[in-house]
Amino acid sequence: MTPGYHGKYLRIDLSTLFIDFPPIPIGVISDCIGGVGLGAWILTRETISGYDPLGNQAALIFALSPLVGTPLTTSAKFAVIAKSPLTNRICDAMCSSHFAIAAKKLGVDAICITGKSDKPCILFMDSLGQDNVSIRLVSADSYWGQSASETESSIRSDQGTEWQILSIGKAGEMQIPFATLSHDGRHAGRGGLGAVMGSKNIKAIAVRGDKRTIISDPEATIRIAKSLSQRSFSPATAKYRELGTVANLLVFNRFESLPTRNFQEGSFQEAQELVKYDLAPARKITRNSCAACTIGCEHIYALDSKSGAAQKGVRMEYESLFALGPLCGVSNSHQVLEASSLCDFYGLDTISTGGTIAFLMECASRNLIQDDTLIRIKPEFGHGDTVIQLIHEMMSDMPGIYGELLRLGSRGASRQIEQGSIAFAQQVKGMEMPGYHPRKLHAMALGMAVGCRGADHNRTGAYEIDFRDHSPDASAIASSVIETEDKAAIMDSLILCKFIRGVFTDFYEEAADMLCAVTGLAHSRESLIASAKWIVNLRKSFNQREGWLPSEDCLPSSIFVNSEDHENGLTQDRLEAMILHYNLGRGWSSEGFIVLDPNVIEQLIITENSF
Amino acid sequence: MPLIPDFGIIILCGGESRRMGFPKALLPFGSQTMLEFLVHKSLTIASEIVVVLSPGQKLPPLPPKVQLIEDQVAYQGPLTGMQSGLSLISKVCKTAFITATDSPLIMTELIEFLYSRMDANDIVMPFDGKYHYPLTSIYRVQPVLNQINTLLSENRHRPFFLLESLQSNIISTTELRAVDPNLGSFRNINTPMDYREILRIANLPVPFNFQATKINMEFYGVPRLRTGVHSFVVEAETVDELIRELSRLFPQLIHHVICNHSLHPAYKLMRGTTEFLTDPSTILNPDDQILLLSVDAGG
Ligand code: SF4
Repeated sequence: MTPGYHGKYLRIDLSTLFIDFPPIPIGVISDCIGGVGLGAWILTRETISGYDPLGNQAALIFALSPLVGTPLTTSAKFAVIAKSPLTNRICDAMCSSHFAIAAKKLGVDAICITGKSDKPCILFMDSLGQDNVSIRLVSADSYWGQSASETESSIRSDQGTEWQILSIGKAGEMQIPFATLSHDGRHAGRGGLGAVMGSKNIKAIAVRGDKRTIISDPEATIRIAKSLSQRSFSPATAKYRELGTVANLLVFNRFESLPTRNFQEGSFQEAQELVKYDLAPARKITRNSCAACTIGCEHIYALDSKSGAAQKGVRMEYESLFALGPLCGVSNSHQVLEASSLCDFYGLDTISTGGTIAFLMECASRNLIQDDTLIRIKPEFGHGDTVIQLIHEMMSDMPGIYGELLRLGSRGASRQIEQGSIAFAQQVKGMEMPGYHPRKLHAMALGMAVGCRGADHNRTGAYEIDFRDHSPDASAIASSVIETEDKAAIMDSLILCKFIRGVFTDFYEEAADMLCAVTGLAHSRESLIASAKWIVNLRKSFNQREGWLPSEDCLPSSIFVNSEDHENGLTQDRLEAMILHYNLGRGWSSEGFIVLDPNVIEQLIITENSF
Repeated sequence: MPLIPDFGIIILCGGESRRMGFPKALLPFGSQTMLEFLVHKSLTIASEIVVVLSPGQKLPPLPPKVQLIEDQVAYQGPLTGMQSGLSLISKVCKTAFITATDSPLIMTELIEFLYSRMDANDIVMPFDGKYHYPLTSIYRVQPVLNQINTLLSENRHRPFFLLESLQSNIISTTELRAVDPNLGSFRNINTPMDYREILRIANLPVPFNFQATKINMEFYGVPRLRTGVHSFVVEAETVDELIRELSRLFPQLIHHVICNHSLHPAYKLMRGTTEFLTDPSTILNPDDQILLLSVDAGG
């Protein structure tokens, strides 16, 4: 057995309750590493072209990595991979903490769930004291309708605290295409993976086990772990430790890159109003961290005592702050916190929720919503109470409200509203854009346009280029975007938290050292760079199999400025030029298709039913 | 204050003043120039004063008692200036203190203290644990002059080489705090910022044409959290000066944002939102908007 791995994954067909343990070939282990790389490989082999992401054939994958369970800081993470119901393209999202460690102790490197339970249930997976994993389904009737965190604590109090639980909220149950799934307050947030779990009638997954992997070179692993932990206290991570990502708000505002009122503007005059969350230690209740993390970036803020929310505090991240604040024109920080807490409660992705509401607000301001049956509230920018009300409406089937429309996401809603409203649906491939205004951030514009899972800030990291000294040349930007995307592919396959990226002097070299120490495999800088390209190609090939077209790699037309104004913004020509350089730099056709060399096909496993 | 017998002071003022951009000897210091001020202070303890200047250098009017000597070649470093000064003074003095025109805060008490530690030595030179201070030292004129002649004939130009063969008493600057608690005697002027700082210590006004460039500074993220300050006006000519000024104003940034007089790699300075300031010698312009923020801007 390769150290760091169990060498197999658990495959569960919920429709038949058949389980088995397909082996993971050594070549896949060394090329895909774990996390999103391994997940993309399993997803590709376990599904057939054109399947419904919420149908019986859909696969939901939880992929671990060789570093999980080692003393390496920030490594207690897992990746969730599926075809997104929001984008119909590949979606992978990270989640962290004890679930990752417990799932690896099941004795597998990944879990792949297909089929569908006929009734809402909790899926228990157990390997404690057993040779292999056993599963059981327990009725979820008493948990249905609860929030993810309520479900977690109820199950642990009913079944024992040795279980680690992953759960969906009401949004997942309703299969809202931007529903999250969560563990211990951390969300696999983007792309509706919670809806995929809900479509299988699984309210929660509970795991426990006692199978450990061996470490190839424990001494070297401990030496590397110590050094990494020490460096995790350096100024390179101070922003995350001392402020959290909300610190981005004022910086982005200063750079006129803070998406405001549905991306109509790049700065928000009332940003200072929200600043108190940037720099008000008094408002913070506490700071938390994921399991096995020495950084601790989670800053928990007190909710207004008058708010109706069940929680007392809410974890605030920049993305939630931007999406429920400036994007909707809201400057009342209490209302932004309350809206964010509501999203957590229902299990909604804050970016897509804010993005869809902001889209509706812009449509209303342009008088594009003429349905007289929509009587309840006028969605206007700047009204935090409206945002809160609309989040509640998302969860309701009552007639005369916006719930049904909002549940489609901005692209889906624009298809209903029509009248050219797609121009204001600020999404790529159906996924709402994160808090980086692409008009000024051209590398980020490219990263979002070509992103395999849609408008994305986590699988690319292209914003790093915009915020450092760089050449404005389209081909130089494309090369840098490829670099950041490759690096993110390795970080998400190892899996290490992105917030530690600043402490590495030579990331690939250090990542190879870690992997060699844990697995004993002959990883090197060069082999990891090759793996990164392999993983990116694997994702793209999945999308290509699912019908990807070059026209999807674009930004909403309202983002572009006309050619006379190109000094201050992004023209469509410039984005297209960058995309061309990106495609060629990736070794794809100029349109962005993976070149169909038979060897590449075989290597990438892109053909249907190849297993 | 009684004069020290057989004792002279040599003031070197032929340096290039490149970073200062103005001849240091002529810098205003209260109602006098820097050189005049230093000469008058020297005359309170030494009967002989020699000023070493570079060829053709302009000087302010000095008392007739002061002797002038031109360096034979300009900007050859302090050893040639010391050679010129010592050869002129050797006719009348046995010992001499050598200083430079850009050290107006030199304290006569410190000179006397160093002189008192001469004993049988040829040199008394302060040392702060890292640097020696040959231009704040006492020298026995003849043996030192002989050794300088030898060194220069061997094309060895560093005053430090004098310590190799002459008997020297190296005095710790810690010990010198007894007479000069803030060690102002060791402050010299290389840049307009140093000049303003010395004027501030001496409680003298900054002449109009030496007023600092005022720039608008903005802090984001951790620098803002640690200082509690968002935007303010600060005086600095260059990026390097700005970083030094920020260290002085906000010691809480040291080790966290500013390390070893430069920014930690996790932080960056920008002029506006487009220009990255990485070269410490970059000149700042009046009313520049300078941003200090984390390199890791996303997340
Ligand atoms: S830095 Fe934050 S997100 Fe990353 S592992 Fe630590 S606590 Fe979790």
